[in-house]
Amino acid sequence: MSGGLVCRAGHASDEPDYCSVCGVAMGAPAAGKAAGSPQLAERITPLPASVRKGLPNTCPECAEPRAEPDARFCEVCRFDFVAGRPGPPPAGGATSAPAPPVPVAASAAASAQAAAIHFELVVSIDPALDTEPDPESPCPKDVPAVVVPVDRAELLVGRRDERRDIHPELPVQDPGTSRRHAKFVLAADGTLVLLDLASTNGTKVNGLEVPSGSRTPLVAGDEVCVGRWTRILVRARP
Amino acid sequence: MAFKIEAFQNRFLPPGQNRVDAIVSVTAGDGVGASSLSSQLVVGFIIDKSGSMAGDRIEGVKRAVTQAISMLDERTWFFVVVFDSTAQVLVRETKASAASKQSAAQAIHALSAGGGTAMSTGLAAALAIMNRAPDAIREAIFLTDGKNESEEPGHVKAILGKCEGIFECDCWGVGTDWRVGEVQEISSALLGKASLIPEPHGIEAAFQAAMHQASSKSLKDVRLRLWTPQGASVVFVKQVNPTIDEMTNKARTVSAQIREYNTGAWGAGESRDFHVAIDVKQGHEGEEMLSGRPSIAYLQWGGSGWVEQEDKSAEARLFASWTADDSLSSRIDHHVAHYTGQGELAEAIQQGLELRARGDEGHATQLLGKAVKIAHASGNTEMTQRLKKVVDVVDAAAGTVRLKKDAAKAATMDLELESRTTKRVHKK
Repeated sequence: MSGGLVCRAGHASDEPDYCSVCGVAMGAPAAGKAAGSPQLAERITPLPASVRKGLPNTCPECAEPRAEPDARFCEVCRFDFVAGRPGPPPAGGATSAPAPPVPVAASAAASAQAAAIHFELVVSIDPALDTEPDPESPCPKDVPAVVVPVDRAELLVGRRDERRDIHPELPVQDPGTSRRHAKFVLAADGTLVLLDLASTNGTKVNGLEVPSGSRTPLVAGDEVCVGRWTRILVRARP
Repeated sequence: MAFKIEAFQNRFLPPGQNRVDAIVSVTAGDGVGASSLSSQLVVGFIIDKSGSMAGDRIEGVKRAVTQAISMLDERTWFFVVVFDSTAQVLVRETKASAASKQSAAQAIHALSAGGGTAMSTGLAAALAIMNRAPDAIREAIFLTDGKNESEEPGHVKAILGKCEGIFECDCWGVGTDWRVGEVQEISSALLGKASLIPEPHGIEAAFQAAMHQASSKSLKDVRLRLWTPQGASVVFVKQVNPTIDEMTNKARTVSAQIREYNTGAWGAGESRDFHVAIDVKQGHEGEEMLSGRPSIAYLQWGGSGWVEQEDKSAEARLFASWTADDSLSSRIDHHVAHYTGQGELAEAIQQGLELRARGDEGHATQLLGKAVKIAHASGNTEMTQRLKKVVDVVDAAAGTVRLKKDAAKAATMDLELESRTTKRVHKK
């Protein structure tokens, strides 16, 4: 029902998400717009086509087949297909390791860790996102949201896998996520960047699917959805 | 949830472009089946009994109709109309009780072939009966074996206009002496499919399959509803799976920005894909807008009558997002690409067969070769098999073929009839 919703262009809208007259997004934060915050499509940096092609299809380090033709990292040993070098050691050591995919200065990350923490992530399970319920793996109910401070240079989002020794800093209970699904990275200038790790089922930012392997700078208020029911809200830390 | 809708598109457009293409995939949930217990179903048989049906054909039809009626659930209503140059109600509408099935079998047994062929008379008689059951899901089966020779072509068109939206009809032609165009005109107007039965003994199996399909229907007047933003125009809407059917002209305007396309009755678990193309107002780089909102409206049996439902929870969203980044905007969504290819396949077959019939073998070879190539590349093996009965394939990947000199007429007709049947997108 309308309830007096008005879109940016001044139309009375019957729909809460996108204006029922002109189709413009309703929920967009006015402040961000005023500050000239670019639209999502502008923010995304896709993996350049030139590097997507001509890369090996099996991992030169551990011979694991590449999960997707444009997967950036090896699912098993984390080899970086694009940079052509091994990735940082898995689990635990991730904090101290330099992140190969994006130019994160270790020092900046360290200082970010020591000094003010600017962002936090609210991770919640939203059954409403689970549009194709599977009786075999039902969406967990009444799970409280978890607040994770962004207190390190990288936070891996994914499914924990003891066997493969994958221990994400931000583990999610969601069969729709990859083991290494996406990564929140603090860039040198203090901005928070989301990196999709060429996940199988993709990553959405504010409802928009981001290209596989792309990087998207985030601002407070952005919402990242992964898997079948996991919602991660980016929030400025009070 | 009664329906699930998924949209597949590349939302990114380069500046200067405003065409949004998307595949909208709709699936009826399994839960919708429950309502069928109380909703009514009427199945009508419209059977050609003209002189050409004499012999194996009429005997095959008699067996098939009797068999099909015996399969009906006792809550289902049925009737049988036969026609030559005029129509006759052989079995009046009745509930499928053991007794009525018995008496219908006797009436059918006594049927003999004779007379001309005037298809409109059969449709008109069926329409009169269907009109008496406004609350039912109404499905008909039409069978003929010859050309519509005993009337003006306009008669069928006129009666079809009255039947549209009242009942649905699948059509069969027995043998090869009938015209594909005439039968397809009926099936496509009445949201059904036209198929070929080469030999009379195949009628029984075809009717059994049709009975299963008709009995599964539990939702009526299922409509694809499409909201578009102000200033946008719908370029086309077509069903692309299971068969290609143009729907653009069947639009009903709900409001200035909402149109509806009737897709008929659906059964539980049924799934169809639609291709939607919308021209939106030109946007600037960095702008993003909702360019379409497909949803489903339908009638569901509510115990004492049909209740209008709109499945808001299952709507999909189509977007347009302008970007200067070519690597985003140049990608074609693989669902859109797949069905665009299946459309080209159907067109290549239809044009190829037409040219072949006119004796233009050069162009026919070229087009049917193109069809083989697309069928091969898209994994449509059923179509490849059908094509192989009409052409000799030298190199499927390259589309190199030779026309068969002695292609059976049945194979050619079957290929033409099935050319609009598409293969689903291979899930990655």
